[in-house]
Amino acid sequence: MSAAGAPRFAARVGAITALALALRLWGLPGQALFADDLGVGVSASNFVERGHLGPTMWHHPHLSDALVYAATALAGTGKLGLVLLSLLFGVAAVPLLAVFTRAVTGEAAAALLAAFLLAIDPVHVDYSRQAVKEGWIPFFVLAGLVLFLRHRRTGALGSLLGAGLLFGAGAACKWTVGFALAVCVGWVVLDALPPAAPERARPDASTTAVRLAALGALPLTVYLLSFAPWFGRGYGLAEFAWLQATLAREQAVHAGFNPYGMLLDSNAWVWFLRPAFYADFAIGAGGPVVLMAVSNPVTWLATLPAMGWVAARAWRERAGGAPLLVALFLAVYLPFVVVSRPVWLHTALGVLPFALAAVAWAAISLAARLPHPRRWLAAYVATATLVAVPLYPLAVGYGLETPGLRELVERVRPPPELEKR
Amino acid sequence: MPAPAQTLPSRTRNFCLAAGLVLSLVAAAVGLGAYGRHSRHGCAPADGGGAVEVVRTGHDAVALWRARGCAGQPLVHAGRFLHFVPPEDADAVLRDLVGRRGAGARYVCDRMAAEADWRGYLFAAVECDVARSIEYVLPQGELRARAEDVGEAVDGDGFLALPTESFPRRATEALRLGDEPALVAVHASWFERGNPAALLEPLAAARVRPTLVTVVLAEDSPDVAPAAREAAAAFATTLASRLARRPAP
Repeated sequence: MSAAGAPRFAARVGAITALALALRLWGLPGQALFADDLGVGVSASNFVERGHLGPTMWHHPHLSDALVYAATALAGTGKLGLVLLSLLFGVAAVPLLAVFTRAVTGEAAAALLAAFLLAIDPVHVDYSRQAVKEGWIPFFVLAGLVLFLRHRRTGALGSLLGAGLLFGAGAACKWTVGFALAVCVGWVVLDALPPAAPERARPDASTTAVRLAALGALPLTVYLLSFAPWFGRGYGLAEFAWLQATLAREQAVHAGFNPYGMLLDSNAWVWFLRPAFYADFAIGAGGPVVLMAVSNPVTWLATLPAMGWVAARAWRERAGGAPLLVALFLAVYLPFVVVSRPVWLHTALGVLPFALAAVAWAAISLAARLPHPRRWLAAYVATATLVAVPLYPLAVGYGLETPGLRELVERVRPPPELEKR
Repeated sequence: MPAPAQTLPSRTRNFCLAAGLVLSLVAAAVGLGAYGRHSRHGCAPADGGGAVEVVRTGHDAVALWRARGCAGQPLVHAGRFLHFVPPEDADAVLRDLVGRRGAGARYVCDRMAAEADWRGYLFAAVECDVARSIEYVLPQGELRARAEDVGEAVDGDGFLALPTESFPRRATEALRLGDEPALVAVHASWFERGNPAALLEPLAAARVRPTLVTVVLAEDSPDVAPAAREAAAAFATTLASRLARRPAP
């Protein structure tokens, strides 16, 4: 991008980010607290003040508890305090996706389109408004990747250390972040191998060493330190290893905390093959509130063809951003496809940035081959937006009040025997 | 005029930084391990009291352990039951944590300890961080029944892992004291089916003496017969006598 184009790009990213903030903030203050919101608040205090894990999501790592505890110190323990970080991380993921997509594709238009699609994505909007940490994952993954890519471009060690810190912090909130980190480590290792193409420069041993330390030792240090309150109960390193194995065992079989979850989409393979949904319920002052996250079919169902296009490009080019994008998508998505435990739609947020980057890149590139590419793109963006419009009130908990959507919400009502849970 | 600072060559800088990051990891691991050890406290001896204490109920046991400052210890519990049933309002107590910023640990412990009874006094001990792990010693034959209950197998070392989310619990049939001083509780229910000698000998001969042996007479428990309580009291007397004859380490 030319220097002259940078301010324009930044301004457009800023506008999309403002849209993302507005969509995520609208109607949020004062909205009913969901059981998960309360559970996150309790778990934060339980971990920080007592070193105990849970009661909710005890099987995940717990830096998120410390961060939520800090956020509630600033913003109180009401709705806004509990969801503050989800909101901030959710909004911040939008410009980060723009920067990441531009770095990977070299296309400012693809970057803007990807960011816009994330800004209006109903699932991402939904989880930017809940205290649970699913919406945090895109932020940590993208921030780590953006800094790592910057380090590769400029050699800046600060960026490398920042990437290690963010990957570590993300993995200390949810292990999912580790998949993207593993791709970066794999990239560093591949880089260090003797090059097949003689013209490719091979980094010297000291560069490889500092990259591996920054992406290995540093995240591990962050991860380890995040368990400090738990160590304060008298535990040692051998017990820490036992705890990690216990968390992993539970992760492998976890089936949720509510049997209603088994009635929702719980297979990762459906995410990009048909519209999928997840629902949360609360009783507010004005009656029931239902958050119904439904994937936008115009973007989600375009993912696999778009990723196929990127993969073909990666195969042809064997370098550049396409192989990285494919590797990231597969590394994050495939583990959830092959695992036998239920995996719900919100887990898709870990892979969604790569899906949207691929969709945007493919859309821009394919439109460029058609006559009137701007019209084709405008038609695609308009379609994605039009479909997102009715999904928005569902995602933010106003579906029951919206004409024409109430019937849809009623269809996800838990059966009577599960309603009291 | 001082010479300008010499910048390290980038290779040396990279290697130093890599080494520094690895050392940071090692330091974090060592530091956290030390922090954990520093957080363990053996039970303080009572004025004129010995290493064996007799209490009437599980509730009293928790109160005793808290009063003695027992913290972060492995708890070895001999008896027929697991005593890990949370009080009915345990969830509500935890929910109250959010509004008691900075005082949550004490609050939860106070509430759980106040409500501890024969069904859940070990649960309260965990909530109060008296114990960081529990090893149940079950009378002969009870381990297999427990294993069938939870659908797990007893491992090659004779331990049955018990599902407790993130808290380490396991059961066995032989009292084994390790190298770390433990808090030992002997519940009167042991004496309904268990052999007193199976506890007495290992406790009296332990290379590393327990920080406290608490004999719980279980006067509030409907599952323990009076004869078992009498046997428990007699066991406490015998053990105290044996330990008193043995010089302190």
